[in-house]
Amino acid sequence: MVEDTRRSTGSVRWMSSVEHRAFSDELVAFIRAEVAIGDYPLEADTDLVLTGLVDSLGIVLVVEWIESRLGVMIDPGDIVIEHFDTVASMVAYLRGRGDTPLD
Amino acid sequence: MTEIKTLNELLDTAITVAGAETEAITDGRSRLTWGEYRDLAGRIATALLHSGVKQGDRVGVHLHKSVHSFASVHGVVRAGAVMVPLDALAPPAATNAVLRDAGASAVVTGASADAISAITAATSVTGVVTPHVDTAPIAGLMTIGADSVAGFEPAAPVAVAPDDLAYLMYTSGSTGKPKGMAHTHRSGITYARLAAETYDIDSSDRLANIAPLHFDQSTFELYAAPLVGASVLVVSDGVLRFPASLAALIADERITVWYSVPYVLDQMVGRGAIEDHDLGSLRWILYGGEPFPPAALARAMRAIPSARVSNVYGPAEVNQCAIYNLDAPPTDDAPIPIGRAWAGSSLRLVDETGGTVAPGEPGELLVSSDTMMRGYWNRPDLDAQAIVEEDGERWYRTGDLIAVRSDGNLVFLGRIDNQVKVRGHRVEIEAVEAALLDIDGIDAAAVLVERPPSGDDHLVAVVSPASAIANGRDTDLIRHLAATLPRYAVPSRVVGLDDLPRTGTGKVDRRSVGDAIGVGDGRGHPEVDR
Repeated sequence: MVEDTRRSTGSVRWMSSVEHRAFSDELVAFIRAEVAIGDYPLEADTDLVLTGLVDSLGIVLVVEWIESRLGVMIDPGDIVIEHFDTVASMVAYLRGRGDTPLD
Repeated sequence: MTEIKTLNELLDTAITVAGAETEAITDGRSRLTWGEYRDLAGRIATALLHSGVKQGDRVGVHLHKSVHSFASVHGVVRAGAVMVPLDALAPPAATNAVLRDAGASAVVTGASADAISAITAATSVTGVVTPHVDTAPIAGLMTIGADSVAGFEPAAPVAVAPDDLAYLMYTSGSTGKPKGMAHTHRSGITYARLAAETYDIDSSDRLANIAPLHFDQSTFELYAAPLVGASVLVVSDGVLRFPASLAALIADERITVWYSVPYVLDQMVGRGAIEDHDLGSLRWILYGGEPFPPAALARAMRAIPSARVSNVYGPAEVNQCAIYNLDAPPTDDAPIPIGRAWAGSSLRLVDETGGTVAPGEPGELLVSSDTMMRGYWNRPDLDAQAIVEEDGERWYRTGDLIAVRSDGNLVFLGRIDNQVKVRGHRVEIEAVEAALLDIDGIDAAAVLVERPPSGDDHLVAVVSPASAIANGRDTDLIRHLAATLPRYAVPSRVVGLDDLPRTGTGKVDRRSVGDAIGVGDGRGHPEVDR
């Protein structure tokens, strides 16, 4: 799964916004199914902390999922609120790294 | 130290001690001087009085952690009312149950109109103050929003007596019915004074508020800080989820005193990239709520060598009653003692019959102290179980099994009932099991605590029959529980077993259930061994 994604990066650069959208949707679906607490509606720009959807264990699960899904390592110093308060922030952070299939 | 006797004078005291223009409080976004902090609290008090709040009324504070949540606590107390801290992240049904039990007449909040309607439904609440947001009218409620609050004159403290109630601190009872500890101004101010003296805190100190308002550790930053004019950093719920954000904030704000459950400190040390941040301003690390695994504490102390560490022991019913200080990291796996009686507390150990145990024998710890609550709110039945009077003294039965080590220090062995701690939060096992048994299709249930080496303690539910969680129904079940229980009481996973082991009397045998799935029963702590 991870290797497939990587192999595709070069050829799909022109459709990257579609790819971001797909990854964003996938991440929202993962959080909804495996992490979210309570039934607050979850969208890419929903604040995960103030809505109570994700607690500190949830953040760990999200980071682990992203690492294995994209085959990247996330430095503990990068796991800060600015990068992880919403799914949109996560996508922006991952894109900004320049070393993921999302860049 | 000033000899004030009630909590409603604290912010005026701070101005006398530290000066009105000195920084008092920040949440990383807003920064207030003591003068501004007092005036904001005073305007919130004025709003509450306008909404009809009378002396002794209960008023809920339902806000995310911020300078506004702290000012609201002081605003309620300043209005002569009894402050009821609420968990802003709790399900509305849980908050509603607390407001109903407290018989609250008003609530200070920042929630949406829908959420306000949900938490106040079928309660005695008639007034709503939203100090930092404007609010739309809500049927049946008098709402006072930020624009009105900003225009009010700050109220002076409404006179109260030291033995009047100051705040109710709620936990979930064993039947799931909320149970409120009723603290007086005397118990609150006595605790604040002892805490400030014990840790030698003055106006040059900066305290980090980690705990939420409904968790009793926050009394330290709420009340001890203004007594001596020490400033406070209120760490938001958001930053707390991110150890690296937390470490950066503690370093940037030059925090000198930290107080939290072990889990939060351990996460910051382990995952906070702390080598990138200078934490050398920390001179005290206080922890409490549950035991700190010695290896994890040693790692934290090596990472932050500037700080002395204090193990703070005391159920919220008595604020604090024992203390054990460490100047060097523990060198072996022996449990960290809870130490000796704190100034102003008397401690003794009793057996099942209430008689004092023989020297060296473990027993239940009883506490007598001026920092003790008056009793549980409207629950004489619980008072009768938990408070014993002897020789003219009131003693609180902690329910903790304690032994005296040969050097005289006390050691926590476990609980004598089925209360467990999950990341510092009290959970009554029966309440979670009762919530499971309320769900259609579940015939029997046991709840256990899993304590992995990572420190990510969590609950595990075991239900029968196994078919009750087939086809992904375990996720539905967890969601169902999340709608009624506080989040720390919601099991992280569910296991199905067709037959739960039972004791001779027919009760579900949690220990055997735990053996069947490889999880402890969570009452003791794995590193605690006599």
